[in-house]
Amino acid sequence: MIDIQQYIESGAIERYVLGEITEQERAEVECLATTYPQIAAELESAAVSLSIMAELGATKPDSKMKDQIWAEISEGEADIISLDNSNNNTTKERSTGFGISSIVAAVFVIIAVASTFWAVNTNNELSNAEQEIAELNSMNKNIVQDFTELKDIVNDNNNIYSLPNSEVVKLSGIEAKSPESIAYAIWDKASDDVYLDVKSLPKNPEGKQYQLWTISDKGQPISVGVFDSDGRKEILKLGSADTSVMFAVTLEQAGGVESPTMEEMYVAGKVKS
Amino acid sequence: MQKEKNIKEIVAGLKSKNRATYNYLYENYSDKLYGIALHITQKKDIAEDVLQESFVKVYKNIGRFNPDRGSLFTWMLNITRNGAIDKIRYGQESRKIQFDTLNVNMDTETNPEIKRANDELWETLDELDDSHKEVLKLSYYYGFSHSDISEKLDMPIGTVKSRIRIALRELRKIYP
Repeated sequence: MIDIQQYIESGAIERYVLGEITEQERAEVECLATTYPQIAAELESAAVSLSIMAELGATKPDSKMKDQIWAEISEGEADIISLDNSNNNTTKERSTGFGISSIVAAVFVIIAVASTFWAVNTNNELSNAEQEIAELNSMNKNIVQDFTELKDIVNDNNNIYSLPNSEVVKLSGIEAKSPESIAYAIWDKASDDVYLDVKSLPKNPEGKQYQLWTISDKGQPISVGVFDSDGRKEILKLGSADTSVMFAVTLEQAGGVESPTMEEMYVAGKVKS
Repeated sequence: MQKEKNIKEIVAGLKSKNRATYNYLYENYSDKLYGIALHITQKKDIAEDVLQESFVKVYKNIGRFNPDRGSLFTWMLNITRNGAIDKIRYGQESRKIQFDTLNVNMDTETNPEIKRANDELWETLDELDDSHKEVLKLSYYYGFSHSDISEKLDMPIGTVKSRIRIALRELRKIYP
């Protein structure tokens, strides 16, 4: 089990509140907060401290600022300012209605654009044209390859990813344990069945097995099932979950354990709704 | 901290660029956001830029705000704080912190507004022990990372972390 005091003293909670944390660490803190009330209380306290410090350091800005800022907000339109590139790793649901026709349409649009580009440029000098032809051929080859891969993904996953009333939860690798790992939990809310689409998990050692957990809305970790990983991609049907705010995978002794070992958490992700 | 009014209402107001919502956020938060920007950058014009850019970012990125991860104010404060740190870290401006006295050698002596803001803050924090005050100033108000503070003060990083935690706890006792 995790040493809660040691975790609190690690400074992770303060960094979480200040936004100085990776997406994986964020998932870890949120998971632990749902499981351990002491960590949830520390999070709350740290947020209160932050507000106090903000109050203490408050300084009234020049009066011109209010209208000046509003003018920019009300006049500004489409320019998007990125907050943080790392947020690109946030939980992203796959579309359950991922239709093959949309892929085909996209491929044809890309090919049409590429072909037009090619046609226009054939009037240029021969050396440029040859280079462009080579690039376009390469582009077309890549498009066909991408199309084939996407088709395979759709065919492989169509059954579970297209389930009505299902929720797809991305489980990101925990930074301190296995940052490259990734899996998707597909939770069929109609039947409560939980599937795990393992994209990347290390091979489990002899005598150990991975265990999938659901964290209930009361913060209770409940085992969904145990499984082996040979390091390859696979889709598994595990147990069921009637409520869940988060899914996580830990490495435990073979056969599974009653409560998760937090230090052995490999991937985790929050349920969005 | 004043309790935020209905968060759904605020988010809707931000998305529709409702003026009343802006007024509410500005009246309640602008002094706190500007304060942290001013303390980190120690320059009035840069702090004003940070405040303006932060409000614009809030409007442009409101779709990414997740209330499960904390309050809107905390989110806005982090946007402002990170924006101010970026200005100092990646901009042309650089501060010289005198670590023995924790004085900031920049505009503080020539700009009365910043000097007053610094003096008032340090006076308020005087109720804390010096060791706690020191780490709070460096971590929160000057925007240094734990490892930066450890290096600059020649202190083990574990000590820095525990001092920050204790300082925050003491702060909550003084300002319940």
